[in-house]
Amino acid sequence: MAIIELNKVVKNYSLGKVQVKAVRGVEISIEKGDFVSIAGPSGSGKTTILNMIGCIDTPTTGTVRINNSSTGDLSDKELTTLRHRTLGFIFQLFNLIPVLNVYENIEFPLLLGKQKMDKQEKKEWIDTLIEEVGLKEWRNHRPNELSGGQRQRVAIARALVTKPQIVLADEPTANLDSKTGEDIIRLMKMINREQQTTFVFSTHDPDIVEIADHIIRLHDGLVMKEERRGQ
Amino acid sequence: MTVSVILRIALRNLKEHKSKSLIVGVIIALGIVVLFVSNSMMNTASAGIRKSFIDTYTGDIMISVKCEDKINIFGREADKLDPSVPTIPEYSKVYEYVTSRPEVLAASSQVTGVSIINFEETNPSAESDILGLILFGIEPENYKNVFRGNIEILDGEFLKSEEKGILITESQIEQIRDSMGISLSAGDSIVLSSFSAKGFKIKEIPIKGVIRFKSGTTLMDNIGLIDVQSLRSLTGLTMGSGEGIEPEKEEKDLLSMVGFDDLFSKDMVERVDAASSSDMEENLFSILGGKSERTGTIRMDKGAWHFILVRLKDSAAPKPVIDDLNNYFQEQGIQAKAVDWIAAAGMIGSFAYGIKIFINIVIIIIAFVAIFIIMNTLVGSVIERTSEIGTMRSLGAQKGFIRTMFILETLSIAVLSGCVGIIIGTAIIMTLKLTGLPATNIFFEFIFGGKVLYPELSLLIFIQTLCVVFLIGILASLYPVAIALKIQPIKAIQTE
Repeated sequence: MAIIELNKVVKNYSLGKVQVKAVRGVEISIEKGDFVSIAGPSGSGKTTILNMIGCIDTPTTGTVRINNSSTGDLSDKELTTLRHRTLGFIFQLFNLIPVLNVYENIEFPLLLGKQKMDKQEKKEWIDTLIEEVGLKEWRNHRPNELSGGQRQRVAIARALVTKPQIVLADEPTANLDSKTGEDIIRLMKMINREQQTTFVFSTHDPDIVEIADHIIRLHDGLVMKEERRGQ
Repeated sequence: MTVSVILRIALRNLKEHKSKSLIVGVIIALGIVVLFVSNSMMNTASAGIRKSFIDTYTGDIMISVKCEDKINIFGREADKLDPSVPTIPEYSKVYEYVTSRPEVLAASSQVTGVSIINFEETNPSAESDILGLILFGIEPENYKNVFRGNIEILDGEFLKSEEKGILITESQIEQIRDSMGISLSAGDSIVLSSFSAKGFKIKEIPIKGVIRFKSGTTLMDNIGLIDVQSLRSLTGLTMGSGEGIEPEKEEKDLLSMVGFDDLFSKDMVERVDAASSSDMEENLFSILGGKSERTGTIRMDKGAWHFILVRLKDSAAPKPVIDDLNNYFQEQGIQAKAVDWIAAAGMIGSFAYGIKIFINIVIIIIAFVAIFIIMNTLVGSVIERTSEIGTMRSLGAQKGFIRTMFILETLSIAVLSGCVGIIIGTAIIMTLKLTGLPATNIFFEFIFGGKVLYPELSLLIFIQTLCVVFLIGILASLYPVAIALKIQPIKAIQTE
């Protein structure tokens, strides 16, 4: 069963007096546990689609369903709860909280929800994630003391800390060198396999695209081609 | 959500944005210093003003005749001097009722008048040979009961009942000595001249004592306490002159031609031989002629009193007693009214309180300017942190989290800076308490309620200041929080 469904999704932006059609009737279905790459050149609508899946933007027309619930019917509070419980975000610019160290940044989403995790259990889980992303030595460092790759690793750990069903990553390798970028994607893939977490990431790097199992190629706001590997 | 985590983020953000935090902190700390010091001073001054007025010349309640003009302890409040304050009607009945009230500790009746001391005869070579005086005609025993302990006898003794005489202040003695070269002391006599609707009166009065008012302003230096009969004689309070009789229009017009300054001017005093006589009043009347007129004139009205000054057992609660007295006067159809000490002090009391209100308004304006500056700085901080706020929202932070974070951040800096301000303010007040803050002129005397202000620390001021700190924190955060709450999660991606 699809965990993410986009039905006839259209997104128009107003740029001054000009209407920009960012997405023009996209239909996408993503299964649970998929490792999905949304590929396409700049302006093809990758980020817009990710934003709508991530409930931080709304479609002009059409519906976005996450876990079979239409995001258009949810209030701001419900959307926030959905984001917190179901989704994890990895941003192109890492978006770590500058005043928190590595451990605290990863811990942050756990502090937002109502569900409580045992203190010891929480600590062990965060330490496991830190170890998994290879930042054990950097546990108490602030983001400005880390390299781009390290920051993105922190962002990945933070995205996974609430054990979300879906992790969305908007061009996670765009600000990294190719070696580090590839490492990051492989790390994501490993977590996808181990934890059955659905990953959806956008990229315009052809080498990175090829690592995905499910590739959605966009052009001018339309799905040009959809490939599923190993099927 | 753990508040400690939000607080940790808030404090680290303050540390991270040191310069902004410092600007905001300094503004708050300075504002709190001003607020704390001025409030402590005004609080002490307020008690001082109240004490100096109540203890020195108004008592807790003043009862006077009810008339169109406002009346205070110095007379009518009018543009021109009008000493013709009608006396209290049905005085005995009023006095009896007042003193029967269980709340009343003591009551003293008083006649107020103005007079000049003329030294032209004594020292013709002196540059200035007259001195203005505000005279309170009193019944000594009752007066002592009401204003007990506030009068210090420096020379001579206090007035005795039925005894003629005057008590003048040490500063009047000094003024006379300095400006006229005349040394006066208890046992000497002075010549007083007064002008009223009944004409011009001159009377020689023995100085019974030299006094000092323990609390009070420079204004008190111009007050002399005189036996009531002498003052009645000087001010023309003879039989039939009292009981609320209003002067005729022509008389009022005549009086209104004379200003307060005019009264003490040299031109107003016509030199008469009577001044050199040992019994000037008798001589004056013989000069004036007709004995029948004299007989009528010298029969002083012993029931003629301008005011009854009342001291209560509980000075803090005069209003119910005032209301009760006024209800009684109304029920009995007596044209009298009771007022509190502020009204009794007249323009001086109102002025002192007006200044206090003005200072409070200035403080409020300063507080609002400070809030505006803080708000502006915080708005800048919110805009700068748009991406961070968007990220938090994306990760699942509800609006309540963002709101709490910014309020805690503003409150943290407000409380920290406020505490610094309070500590500095406390140090200033403690220093001033030791050294005293002298009132350099009469303006400050009114504000301070005395010649030197020794400000006191008060728990109430601490609590009030902390409340203001919280209020500033909350008010200053309202607008920035509103802006922060409008930031959508998508801004996490759109903003670097």
